[in-house]
Order: sequence, then structure tokens, then C-alpha cells
Amino acid sequence: MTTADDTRLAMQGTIEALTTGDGSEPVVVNLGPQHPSTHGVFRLKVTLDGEIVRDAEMRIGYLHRSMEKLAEERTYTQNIPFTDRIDYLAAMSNNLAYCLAAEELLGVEVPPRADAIRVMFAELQRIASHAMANGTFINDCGAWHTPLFHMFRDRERVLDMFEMTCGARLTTNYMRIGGVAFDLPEELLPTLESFLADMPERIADYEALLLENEILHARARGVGVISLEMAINSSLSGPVLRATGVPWDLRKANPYCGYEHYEFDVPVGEQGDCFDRFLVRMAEVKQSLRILRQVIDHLPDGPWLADLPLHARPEPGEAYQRVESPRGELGFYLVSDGGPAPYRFHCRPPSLINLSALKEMSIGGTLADAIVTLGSIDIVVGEIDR
Amino acid sequence: MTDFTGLTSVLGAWYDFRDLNNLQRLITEWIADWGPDWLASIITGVLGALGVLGVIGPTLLILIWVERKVIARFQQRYGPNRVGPRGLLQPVADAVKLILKEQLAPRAADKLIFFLPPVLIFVPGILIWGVLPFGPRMSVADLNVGVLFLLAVSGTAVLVIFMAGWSSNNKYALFGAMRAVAMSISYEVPMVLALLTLVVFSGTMSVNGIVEWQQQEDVIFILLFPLSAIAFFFAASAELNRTPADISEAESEIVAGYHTEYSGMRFGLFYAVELGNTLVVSGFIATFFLGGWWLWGLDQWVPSWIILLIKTGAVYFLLIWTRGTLPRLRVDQLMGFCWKALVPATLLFVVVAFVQRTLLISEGWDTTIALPIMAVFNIALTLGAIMLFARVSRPAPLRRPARIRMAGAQIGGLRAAREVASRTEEPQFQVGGD
Amino acid sequence: MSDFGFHLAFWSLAAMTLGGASMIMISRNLIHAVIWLVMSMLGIAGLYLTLSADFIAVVQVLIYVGAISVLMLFAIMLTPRAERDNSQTKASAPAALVVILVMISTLWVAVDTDWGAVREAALTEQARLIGESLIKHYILPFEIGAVLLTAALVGAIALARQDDEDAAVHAASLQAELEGEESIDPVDVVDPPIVSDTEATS
Repeated sequence: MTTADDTRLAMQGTIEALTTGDGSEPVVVNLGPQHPSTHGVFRLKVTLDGEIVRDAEMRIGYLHRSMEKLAEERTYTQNIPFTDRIDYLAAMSNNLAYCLAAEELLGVEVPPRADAIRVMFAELQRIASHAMANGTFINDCGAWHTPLFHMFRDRERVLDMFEMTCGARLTTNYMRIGGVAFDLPEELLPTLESFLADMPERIADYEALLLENEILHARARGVGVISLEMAINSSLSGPVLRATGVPWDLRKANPYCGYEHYEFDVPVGEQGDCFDRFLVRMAEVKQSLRILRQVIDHLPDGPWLADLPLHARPEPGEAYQRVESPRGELGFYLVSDGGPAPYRFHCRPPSLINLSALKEMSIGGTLADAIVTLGSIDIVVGEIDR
Repeated sequence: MTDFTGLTSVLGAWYDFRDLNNLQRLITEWIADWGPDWLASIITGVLGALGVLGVIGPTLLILIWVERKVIARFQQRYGPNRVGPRGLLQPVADAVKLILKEQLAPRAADKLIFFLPPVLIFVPGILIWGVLPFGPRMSVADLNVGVLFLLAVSGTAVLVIFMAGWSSNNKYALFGAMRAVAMSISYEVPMVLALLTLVVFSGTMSVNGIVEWQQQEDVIFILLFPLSAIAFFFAASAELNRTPADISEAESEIVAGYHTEYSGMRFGLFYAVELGNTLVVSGFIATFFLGGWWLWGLDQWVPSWIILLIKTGAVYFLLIWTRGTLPRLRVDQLMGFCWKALVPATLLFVVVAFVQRTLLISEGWDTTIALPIMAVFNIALTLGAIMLFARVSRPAPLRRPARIRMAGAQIGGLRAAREVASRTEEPQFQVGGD
Repeated sequence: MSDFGFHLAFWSLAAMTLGGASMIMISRNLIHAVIWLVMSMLGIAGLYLTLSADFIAVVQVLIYVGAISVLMLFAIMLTPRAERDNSQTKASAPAALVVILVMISTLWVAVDTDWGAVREAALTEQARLIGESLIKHYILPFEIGAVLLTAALVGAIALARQDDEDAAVHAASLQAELEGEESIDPVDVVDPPIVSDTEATS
């Protein structure tokens, strides 16, 4: 008997072992790595009993680019473009988190104008990212791209502002250690003003279109529920955590870049289901607009970049800095051995850790529920695999 | 020699030469002069089929463009605008691309059954046009069991879909096929019941007979039986795999459902038939519920098929609209909606139709007075049934409103969460609920 | 209609019906057999049409092609080891005997019967006539049929309905088995392990 026959028999045995009393047998379906709703090259292996998910297994690593290792060979400034590509839908937030960690390691003082600009772009990035997240979430619920395209208009305007400021739309590479790369261009503030003026109307449109949609309620309410305790124990963060009712937001809990000076609220949900995650994101966009208004009103003058040599060599030591990225707690851990490049570069990606709860959320639901749940977690595979 | 004045003998209207049955009879008689009967039958049959195909083919190409344009407008886009004037040639370019593409077949596919469905799916897709009346005598075959024919032919498409899904040897395709079969079997029931209302009330099973009844009584059926119209519309959109009921080819769940493994023109054929079915079902909805080719006497002045096409276009737009705006329901929700809502409701209206028909025929009520009263009664009943359904049928998670609270000063873990949750004041943001 | 057209239709439909029927016996694959059965049914529907029985023809398509065959396909799909082909059954010899006996008796009756050709024209309003006779003359059998179908429907629901408790037990047992078993990825398992050169030669 050949090896292939052996393995085939073993597989037969597994399937027969899984066969339940009534003669039905579970079907294993690989969603991904190429699948319309896995948001990148991510593979979800579900075991289905009819349409009910009995087991879910996440297979990751298809987008692994070895960033953490590569970063050990490059200087601190050279590493900033890597962070763009970790979470390509929230490049600004990733830039920011990395720069904060590097600044702590180097002991740099950031000028106040740079802080304000950083807050401005981090919040703009949050709006863009949440627009994408909510749009694709409703797509996963089966809408035919209409909400996605509507929300893309807002994302486009944000990306236009990025392009205006730093020349890039997606991988911005805008933040620098000690500040930001360029000062705000003249035309940015008027654009931002008109954006802020238009957004409330837009959001009202989306709320009218989506919030009372009975089908959306039927698809997302009570689906992908995770309990408050389970969410904390799984170390979830971001909207997925807040949807369960935990008021945890690093901008409040551990303020950075002067977030303590801005007035905003942390929206939390109740049920911890997909719909609450969606609502929390909708509410967070409004809070981001509030912050943006305050940033514009109190934008300080002065330098936007601290004076720092390009090839700074920090003292040996380590630093960990975390920010509230659109997806949750994003942390960078840097260890220096005194050289021009970090000895260790580690990223705590919120998507990966939020994704770990997917199995808990999707077992017992249907296949369609699992897809909706995956969409509501809002993963970026670039961040999961790095 | 053939008498060509026969062409205008039916209505005497100027457009009457388009009347297919006249043409058919004329050709039959002309051939019978010199040839055998069977030749006449075959030639007129082929001509009828070619006529239908000649209408469908170009219409489909235009419809692809229309649908893409309209959906694009819903989505704040321009839609196709590069190939040809205003993008009108885009469907042609797509068709050429599909024809030139390699047609792959999975190695483990059941070859014979895999190759057949794209061809076979055309048979019901074309046959169903046969009983659609474009005018008083303008249908390829005005069967006196036309309604049954419609249901029978549309039912066979399920089998083809099953063949496609099963033979692909692909789990997504099989899921799609199983969903499609389960759904069409279920949704055929409210469909039949909705049509049964009309059949009972008008007393005929001929499609043209139903239109003529509406013409005779000066009323369109959507006013008399609105719930049947709604049920038929929803059941039809479920059978057509369009959102909110496109679960059998749900892109975000099972990729493309039963035609996942079909590429090139094989996929193109499925796509074309789906679009053609959408059009013909819009036509049947217009015929059954909106009066078809008849429009309060306007059909004396305007060619009847133009009236039908306008009504069809309106229904088609409604189908595009639902597709462009609504998310998709889940399989169990869709089946539950069919069996728990549509079937009882349509059944209720069958009984209502029986009673009202009896009142009209046996009791001899005056139709000019009785029909408006019945219409008002039925509309009220429909609204009541819908409101009752909306109140009773909501599952538990939907009864509670979804609330978003603002954390305020409380920031932290479990204790903060409990404090926020235990606050008594109204949450800032509340959606849904009873 | 002239004789030629009628004969053409009759013989081609008869060939379709009988060809489909024999392919059911020949084909090894159950799903193929159902597809051939559908072809046979369609041929029969066509034969009804040549007899001017529109209503029966349409109903034949509606019920046999649209519903019964789909039901058969479902039954095959939901049966474990549906891929089993015809050759494995041990009952083929007695089945053949029974079929031959049935065929002989049918042929006997067919040949023996004095088929009186109908001289009258075909009825046109069949649906109405069938409906009227069902409601007026045959109301009792009709109602009995309806009751029987309702009972079957209720019975099917009762059989298919899975109590919540049962469902929970079922899910739990499946879950336990899934967790107990070493999760084996079918994709990984089917591929034969790479055999190194030394092993292959030794």
C-alpha cells in the first residue's frame, strides 16, 4: 500500500469519525485565500453542518512580508515606510504609533504644532478607515456595493487631503520621528473646513439609509455576539471591544499627542454583536469630526519637526508605545542596542488579536453569519501577517 | 396569391401588421397553397422563435447597459462610458471578451453534465417568452393553460441549476445549487398561490385572458389584490436570484454559487439568461398585475407592445432599485419569510378571491360598484396583514433597540463597563426595537 | 395536421422517451439516471401534446420535471454514499426479473386491448372540464387526496423537525468529536508526503 493510499484512508477515517448519528457528515469549506469577502489573502476554514458553522479555523500568513525582521536592518527613519504597509488602510495611525515609540526611545520632544497635525491626520485616517470598514461590512451583508461607494466618497476626500499634504494617498509616510515631514499646505485647511461642513449631512444620509434597514437588522443584530468578559479575556480592542460595552479608548485611557486637551466621547455598545460594532464606528466618525473641529480652532504655530539627526542612535534600551488606531490598540515595541537600527522591532497588530475571537463569535451561527462577523471585525490582512 | 389585407383584419388599427398571429396564419395559408402542412407549422414555429430571439438578443445587450448605468447612478458613479457613445457598446465588448476567453472545466467535473447546463438553461429562458402577450393577439402561443405553462417552464430551470452546481464538483457551487433548489421550490408555492388568486377571480388560465379580463372590468389587478402582487414580486425576485434574495449566488458568501466554475461564454450564457428572465418576469408582473398591453383605452392609439414595454421597464427599474439598495437576507430568514409570511398571506387572498368571485358571479353583484369596494377592502386587508407580520414576526434580537451610550468620564475595564451599563439616563443613540 | 408532421413528432418523442428510459438502466451514475429520467418525462409530456392534452402535458412538466425529479436529486444528495453506482447492488437479478414480468404483462394488455380510435375532435377547454369534474363528480376522492397530502405534509414536518434539545445534543457531540480529533486538513492530507531521495532509492 502506498503512502498516498494510507493518507487517503486516514482522511476517510476522520470523515467517518466526524459523521454524526443521523448519517450526515460535516463539510469543510475553505473560505479563502481567494474569496470575495475575506478582505485580502486570509483563509477561514469552516466546518459546516448544513449551513451551521461547527468549527472555524483561521489560517494566516499568506501576506507575510517579514517586516519585523527587515526592520532590524534599517535605520529608525527608514523603517517608517514599513509601518505604512502594515495596515495599509490606516497608514497615518501606524506611522504615528511607530514614531511615538521611536521618540520615546530617543527622548525627543515633539513641537506642539506637530502634535496637533498628528492628531488631525490620525482622526482623518479614522474617518477614512471607518468609512471603508462600514462600507465593506454592509457589502458582506449582501448589499450590492451601494453603501460602500457612498462611503468611498468621504474616504476619497480624506485621501485627497493626504495627497495634498504629503503626496501619497495610501502609504503616506508622513510622520517623522520628532514631528511630521511637511507643514500643512495652504489649501488644506479650507478643504478640511468644507469637509467638516459637509460631513454631518453625509452621516445623516447614511443613518437614514442604513440604520433602520430591517434587512440589515435581521442580518447583523444578535449575530457574532461576544460577551464583555470574553472580549476582555481575549484582549480585544477598538470598536470590537467597545461594542461589548467596555469604555476602553487609549486616547482617553493613556493620552498621547495631547488628546487630553480635546473634548470627545467614547461611544460604547451594549450587545457586542455585529450591528453594535457598526454603530460604534458610525458614532466614532462623529467624534472624530468633533476632534477635528477643535484641532483646527486651536492649531498652534511654530515648527513641525524637532531638530534631530537623520541617523539618530538611541541609547540602549527599550520602548513600547500604543495608540488607538481605527482597528484598536496598535503598539510598537522597539529595542535599541545603541546602533542606528533597532535591535528588535515588534508590532502589536489589533486586527490579529481581534480576529482571534472570530471562532468564538461564529460557531453556532450560519455560514452567512460568519462572513458578516468577519466583516464586522474589520481586519486588514497586511497587519495580521506583517 | 395571398391576400395581404388579412394583415389588418383583426383590429383595423394601423399598427396591426405587427400582429404575430396574423402573420403566422398568413404564412401558414401561403405555404399550404403549395406545400405540406407540417412545413407550414415548422416554418411558422421557427419564425416565431426567431422573432422572440431577435427581440431578446438586442434587448439584453441594451439591458445590461441600462442596469449597469442605473446601478452606477445609485452608487454615485458614471457607469460604463468608454466603449461607444455613452458606453452603449460596453456589453458588446464584454460579450466579445467572454467569447474569446478560455472555457475552463475542472478536472474532476462530471463532464457531460457540466457542459449541458449553459445550453439547457436557455430552453426555459426562451420558452417562457412564448406565452407573454405583447398585444391582443400578439403572443407566440396563446395557450389556454398559459399560467400553468409559465410555472412549469420556470420550474424546470431549477433542474438545470442543480446540474450546473452538482457537476462542477465545487463546494461553493454545490451550496449555491442546494440553496437555489430549496429556494425555488419554496418560492414556487407563494408564486402559484398569487397567480391562483388571479386565475380564480378572472376565471381563466390564459395569460391573455387575464389581461382581457382587466380590460373588460377596467381595473388592474394590483389594485384588487395588492398582496398577491407584492408576494409575486418578491417570489419572482427570489427565483431570479436578485437581492435581497440572491443567496444562491451570494458573492460575499459562496463566491458565485452554482456557476462558480463556469468561465468565458458559458458564464456569459448563464448571465444572459438570468437577465432575460428578469426582463420576462418584469413583463409577466406587468401583464398580470398592471394590465399588460392594456392601459385604459390608450392601447387603441399606441401600439400595445409599447405599452407593455413601458410597464415592463417600470417593473424592471423596481427590480434594479431593490438590487441597488437592499442587503441580502440569510437563507433561513428567506425560507422563513416564504413559509411563515408569504404562503399564509397568499392563501388568505386565494380564499378572499373565492368569496369575492362567488359574490360577483353567484350573487350577481354589480361589478361597477362591487369592484371598487372589494379593492378598498383588499388594500386595507393587505396593509393590515403587512402590519401584523411586521409586529409578530420580529425575532428576539430585533425587539430590543440597539443603543450606543457615551462613556463620559468612565474609562477602563470591567468596572467602568458595568458603571456605564447601569446608568439610567437615556442613551444618546438608539436604533430599532419595537 | 397532416400525417407526416404527426408521425415525425410521435416517433421523435417516442425515441426520446424510450432512449431516456433505457439510458436510465444503462447509466451507472444515479444522478445521470435522474437526468435521463427527466428526458424521458419530457418525451412523455410531448406525447401528451400530440394527443392534444395540453393540460396534462403542462402538469407533467410541472410536477415530474420541476418537482419530482428535483426531489429525487435531493434524496440522492442527502443519502450517504450517494456516489455508489448501480453495479454494486446485489438485487439486480431479481429486479430484472420483476421488470421483465411487468413489461410482458403490460405488453400483453396493450396488444390485447381493443383500442377504439376517438373520432371526435379534441376538447379545447380541458382545464375547465377537469376542474369541474373534480369539483362536481369526484369531490370525495379529490378531498381524500387533499387530506392525504396534508397528512403527509404534517408528517414530513414532524419527522424533519429537530427539537431544540436534540439539536443541542447533536451540536455538542459534533463539537466534542471535532475537538477530540486531531484536526486534519484534507488538502494537506491528500497530497502525498514528500519522499526524500534516499528513502525512495532504498
